[in-house]
Amino acid sequence: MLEWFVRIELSTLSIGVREVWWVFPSVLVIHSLSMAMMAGFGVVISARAMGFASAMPMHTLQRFKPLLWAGLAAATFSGLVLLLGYPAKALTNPLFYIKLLVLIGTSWLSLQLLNNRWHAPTATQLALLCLSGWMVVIFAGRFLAYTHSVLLASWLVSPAGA
Amino acid sequence: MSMVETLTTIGHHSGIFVFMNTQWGWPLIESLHFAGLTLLLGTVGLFDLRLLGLGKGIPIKALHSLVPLGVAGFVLNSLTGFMFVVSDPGQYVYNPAFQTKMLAMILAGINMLVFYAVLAGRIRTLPDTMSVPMPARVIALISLGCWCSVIAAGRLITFYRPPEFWCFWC
Repeated sequence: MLEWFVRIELSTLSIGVREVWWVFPSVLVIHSLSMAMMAGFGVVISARAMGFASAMPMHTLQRFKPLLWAGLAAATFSGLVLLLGYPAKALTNPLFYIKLLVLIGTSWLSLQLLNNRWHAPTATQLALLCLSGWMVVIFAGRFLAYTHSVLLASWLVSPAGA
Repeated sequence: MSMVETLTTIGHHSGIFVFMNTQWGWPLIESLHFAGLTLLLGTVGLFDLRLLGLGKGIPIKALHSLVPLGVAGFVLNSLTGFMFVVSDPGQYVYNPAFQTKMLAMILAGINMLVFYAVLAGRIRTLPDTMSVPMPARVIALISLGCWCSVIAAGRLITFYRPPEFWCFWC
């Protein structure tokens, strides 16, 4: 596994992600904005499913569904670029897999709530679950920067980095 | 006392500095800060998009009733943001990314005051499927642009360790 990480890390693209000065900050900005867009819409869907803004029928909110897809696309793309830059950092951290699984589940649940699949009280309970899901994704994402045990696999193979 | 010295003193006397430097202090408060911006962007951002015409058919008044959630997010972020600033003032007050972020927030605030003073009353009584008048759309676009800039600039704060002479007010 480690050799694979090293191979990716030493590829031109991966080095570019780490060393071209504007790439990493731009990708992080895209990742933050797209995650905030998805989670923000998810929170509003949950709030509506819990009975807030009840004068607004859930089906009208479906107008904003493309936001969820656009957010998912931008977050996945930017996430893959970050992964390309530091593959070992994320893939050796169990928290990364938790974030990924909870993100998939919560995105699905948000879509189902948006499609009005359930009625109260089930909808309320699932909306709480959805809200917690988005919180787990946010916390996991932030804690990823503080819980990695390996930054670059190539450092493990040769301390000089090459 | 300089601004940085004052902020440092506040951080130390309030215990915030010590809390932030415990093992999970920074990531915990950063996570709450992100949760807060999510509330703000989700409610205010969707309202702006509705005014811009993206969610025609959504009752404006009902969508607007979620804005207090965004205000709660803003309050949460002012508190958590304050905790960052007093824990490492030098990283923030001289930082062009932080300065840009504050500027965008001031602009968003003025923009919001104009909206509530001049336009909100007319918007609230608008039928659900009617187009929103142009001035309100411009305000919505400014609001959306400002809050996205706030998030983007906030994310960029970590990329600068700025020299002191970059601060134009210190």
